[in-house]
Amino acid sequence: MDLATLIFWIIAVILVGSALMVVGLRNIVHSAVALILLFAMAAGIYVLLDAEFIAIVQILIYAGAVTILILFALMLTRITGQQSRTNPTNKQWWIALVICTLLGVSIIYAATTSPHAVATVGSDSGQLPAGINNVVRIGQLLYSPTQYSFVLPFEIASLVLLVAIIGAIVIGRED
Amino acid sequence: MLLADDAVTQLIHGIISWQFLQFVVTFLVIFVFVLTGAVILVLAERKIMAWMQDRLGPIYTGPWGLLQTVADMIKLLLKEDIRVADSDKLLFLLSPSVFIAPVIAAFAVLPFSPYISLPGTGLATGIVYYVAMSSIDVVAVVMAGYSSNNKYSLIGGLRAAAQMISYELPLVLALVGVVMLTSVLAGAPGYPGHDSIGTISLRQIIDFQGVWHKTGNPVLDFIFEGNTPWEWFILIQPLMLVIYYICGLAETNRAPFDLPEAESELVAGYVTEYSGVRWAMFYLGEYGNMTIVSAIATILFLGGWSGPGVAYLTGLNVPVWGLVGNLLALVYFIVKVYLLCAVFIWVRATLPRLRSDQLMRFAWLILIPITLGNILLTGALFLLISGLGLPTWVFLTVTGVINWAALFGFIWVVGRATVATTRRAQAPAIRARLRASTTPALPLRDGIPARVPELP
Repeated sequence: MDLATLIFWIIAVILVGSALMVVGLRNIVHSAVALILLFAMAAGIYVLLDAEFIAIVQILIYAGAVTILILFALMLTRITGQQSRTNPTNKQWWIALVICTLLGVSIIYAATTSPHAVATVGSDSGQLPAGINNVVRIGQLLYSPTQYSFVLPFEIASLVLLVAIIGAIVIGRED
Repeated sequence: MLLADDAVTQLIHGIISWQFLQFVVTFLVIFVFVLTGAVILVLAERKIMAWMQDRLGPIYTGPWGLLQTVADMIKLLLKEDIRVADSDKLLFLLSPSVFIAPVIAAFAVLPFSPYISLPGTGLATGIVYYVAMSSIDVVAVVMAGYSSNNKYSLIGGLRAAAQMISYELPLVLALVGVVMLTSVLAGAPGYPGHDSIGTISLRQIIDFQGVWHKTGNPVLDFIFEGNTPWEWFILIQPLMLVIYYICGLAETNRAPFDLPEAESELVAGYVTEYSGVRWAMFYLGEYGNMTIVSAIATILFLGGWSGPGVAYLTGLNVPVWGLVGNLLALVYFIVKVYLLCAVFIWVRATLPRLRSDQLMRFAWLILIPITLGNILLTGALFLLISGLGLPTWVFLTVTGVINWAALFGFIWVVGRATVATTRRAQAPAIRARLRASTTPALPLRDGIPARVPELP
């Protein structure tokens, strides 16, 4: 067992634990904070996979922005009187457990037997040329006007987001 | 035992190496810098603000009041740790740590000198990492505001969250201008990198601002190698430095953006219920944030550690001169950072607090359009000038001239907007007073004062 594996197991245990805390905790604000921990640990997994850009963006967007919006909404709509039990749960948790187990088993089965299985050993053909790091490659893939890139889907996605923002403003406007 | 063996040998091989020595030296320098930084800055803030307000400031503890903050720190550490009844215990105890952790983490990518820089300074995503770390602070503020079980804390936390999220956008957009400049400059003779591939690594952005072609004259080489103030990005994008700095003020909740902890309205905002060590941690985090904002501004716009002699001495490859060069670099860097921190204090002593309506308007209607316009303008100018076949320095000059003009335009716009929003906010009160003065005063009766006319 080398150092990376050790760190992976530490991160993985915390990740699964915090995921269970998100669904299990009684207080909804505690769940949201556990969600932040979960996102941070997922970023740790990305770092171990040498995808540091994705990891940092994960922290920036999920831990720093999305969960803040969740917390913000929770605090503005705080249910008074029953602070200790604000995470709504019902009697169907065992159905969720069955579904989750099935999903997990099928993912593990697929990952271990699929012909498209993830390579466990890095191949040299995937290496980037000198002077081109992950960030540069992502930028080229997303925006490059001269090489093969995903400029058009990217621009369409940003247009859709713009429409969503304008729609939210129109709906939320008080006049 | 077999499992742990491999990890242990890896650890030992990592520890006995020159890189680890560099790590230890850097870690100690940065650790001491972070811990003493707050103490020095608090004293500087009190002294500078006192001079600006024609007072003396702290003078009794130690010579010339120098030990005042040390005494304050000792007092804070020994103070009783009060926990509020009915507070959310877990979040209440956790949030100071969550506040200070990203501050310390952000120092990992700050290069202090060519040698004194953690391995993280080589990170290709330096700027994004810094922004991500500063975005985590909001979590701690919201946690503190929620868990204190106090309405002032809650309001302070919510205000801080809204403010920090809003000002993060123009902060990032202001930095994009610099990244675009690096991608224009990359690959030019003397500059690092490949053609038209810019960088967001802090270490490399310093290299972009210190390109000097050796002349062979030792005096000129000594002064100007790696120290070329005419290449600093402040000359090309001064407006972006100003906007970045304003957003930094808002991100750190400093005056005039200190609505989350406005003393006159909210006691102390989200830190109301904290005392002793936990309060000190919030304070340490705030001053650490201030240092980081100044350090990033120094690295991106003011050439980082560059100064006379640094690159020349470290380039000699003699250990003694390398040490001197690194110490010089450290001194230059810290002096630049503290000068920018002094601007923070100057602003605090000068400007009154913004009103909440001005706060959001300023971010969304002034800062974001200007920063977006700057990105558009920089790109369009580059297309135009490179399309005409003119050299890069023409592009840099034109961009610089337009940006300096825009800086004065920005100051004018902000002045107009402040006056206009103040008029709009005061208008109802002025109208009411006018109406009140037109209603006839009630006649006086003997010995009894007239009733004040009721405001309509």
